[in-house]
Amino acid sequence: MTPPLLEAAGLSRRYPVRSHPLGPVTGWIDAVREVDLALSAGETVGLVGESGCGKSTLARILAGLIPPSAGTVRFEGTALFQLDPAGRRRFRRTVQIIFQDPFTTLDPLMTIGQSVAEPLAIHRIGNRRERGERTRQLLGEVGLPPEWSGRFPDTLSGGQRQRVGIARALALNPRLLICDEAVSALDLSVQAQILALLNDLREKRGLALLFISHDLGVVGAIADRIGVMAEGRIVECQPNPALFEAPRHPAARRLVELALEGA
Amino acid sequence: MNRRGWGLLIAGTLLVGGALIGAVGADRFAPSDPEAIRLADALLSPSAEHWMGTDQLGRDLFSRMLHGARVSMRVGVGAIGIATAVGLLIGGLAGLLGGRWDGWIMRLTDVMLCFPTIFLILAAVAFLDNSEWNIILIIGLTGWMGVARLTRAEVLSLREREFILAARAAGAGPARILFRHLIPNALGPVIVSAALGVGTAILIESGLSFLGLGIQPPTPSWGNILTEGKETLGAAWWLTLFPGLAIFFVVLGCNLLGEGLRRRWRSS
Ligand SMILES: Nc1ncnc2c1ncn2[C@@H]1O[C@H](COP(=O)(O)OP(=O)(O)O)[C@@H](O)[C@H]1O
Ligand SMILES: [Mg+2]
Repeated sequence: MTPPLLEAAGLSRRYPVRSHPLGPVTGWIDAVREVDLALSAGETVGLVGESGCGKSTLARILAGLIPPSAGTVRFEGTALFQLDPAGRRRFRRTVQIIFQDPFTTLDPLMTIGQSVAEPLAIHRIGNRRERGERTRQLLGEVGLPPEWSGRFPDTLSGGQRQRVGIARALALNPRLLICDEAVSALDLSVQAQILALLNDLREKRGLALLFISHDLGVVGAIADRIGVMAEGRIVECQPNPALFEAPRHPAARRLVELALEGA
Repeated sequence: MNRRGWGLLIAGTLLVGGALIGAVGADRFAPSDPEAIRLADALLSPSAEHWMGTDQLGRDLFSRMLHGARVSMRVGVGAIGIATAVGLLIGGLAGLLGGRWDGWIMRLTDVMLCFPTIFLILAAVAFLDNSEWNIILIIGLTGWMGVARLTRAEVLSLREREFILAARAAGAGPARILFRHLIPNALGPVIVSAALGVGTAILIESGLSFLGLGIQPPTPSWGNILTEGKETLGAAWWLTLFPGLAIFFVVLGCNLLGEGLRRRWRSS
């Protein structure tokens, strides 16, 4: 059996608490506690939980942006910290992440074309002209006019910036896209458009998604399987419609109630 | 950027640029030697021959103003150059190192910030001789705290921005993060604060010279021209009006330039 694309085992992450930056450590925050999670190619996994329950911390560990305090993340069966430089590069190209805040997701001093082309430049893919061509193609793929390549982010709406963020994440042809509250800052109608785009990309590219939100309603619209997080743990995991019908954990029940009220 | 932003930038550039040109070309433009005493021509009001009139010793005020612009510009730019370099280094280190280093460095900065700067400068000037270089150094070394705090805050907030995380997720190394993202984004606010700071430094130098602690006569500076002018305020208005206006417009120009740059940066 081939190993899952990305697999987390016993992941924990704690942060020291100090009363002021020079003070002694007075305690610890356990942002993520002993999380196990497997993501296979082509699959869409949802992750819900109240704000502050550790979703972003988990997302950043899985994307290799911060190290866990304990536990391991395996990429195609190899622990991240054991990857050789070539493996590390392949991990970077395979797993990409998009974020919540459309206003900080793009460097304000770079044109959107430069932002989208940055991953290509980092991996030295193509020459300048080829990267420009690829950038325009990617902008088209996320539903933006390719000729906007020379624009600066401040001329774009929140939804358009999120599309640029998605184009940048797609530049390296990843197989897994981690979406950390990718639509939470957007208006309802724009949320629906971005969800439709992600759904579309998932089908066309066979992309796996880890779709994170505090809103179960949004997660329910896209995920095959949904994990519920509370206080750093994944307390429940069920296939998509089943969770809505029979939530077991109190945190899951609360989220289902909220989602049904909202609908 | 909108029309108002461009207006600020252009007005600021004209005012500061005018003073800079006057300062650089003082030797060429000045109709006479700024220190040449001609008692027979004392306290002449502005005329075609003496555009800004003459002072108690018959020296041509226009010539003295041009040479005074040199002092103001050198002190303003020099002091802020020092303050900005020190502040960038200290604030950048605090932001990048984080944790305890950050705590200690910023504590030192806050201690410096607690001293009223003007007393620090007055005390330092009392001990050192008031050469132009010493004045630049003193104003510079007492003025870096704002830049340090600004740089630290920029670096700290930028470090957490999602575009930095996105670049790291794409595999960007520390050098790329620093030179492509952190420095260009932190530089904008620092340059803005430097433009504003030049105005403040010019004001401090004028204040020191006005108190007799800055540039010493007979070398002209806008501050000491103002001091000398105040003795004949009733009889010769031009001796206080012109240096007063010059200080006002150059400081205003620095502020307009700073504000214009700030808007320019925010919009690109
Ligand atoms: N860098 C950090 N330092 C200290 N505490 C942190 C840090 N990042 C997150 N936390 C804490 O960890 C907990 C989980 O945060 P986060 O993962 O952002 O939750 P979520 O994304 O679910 O809202 C919160 O209590 C937060 O305050
Ligand atoms: Mg979060």
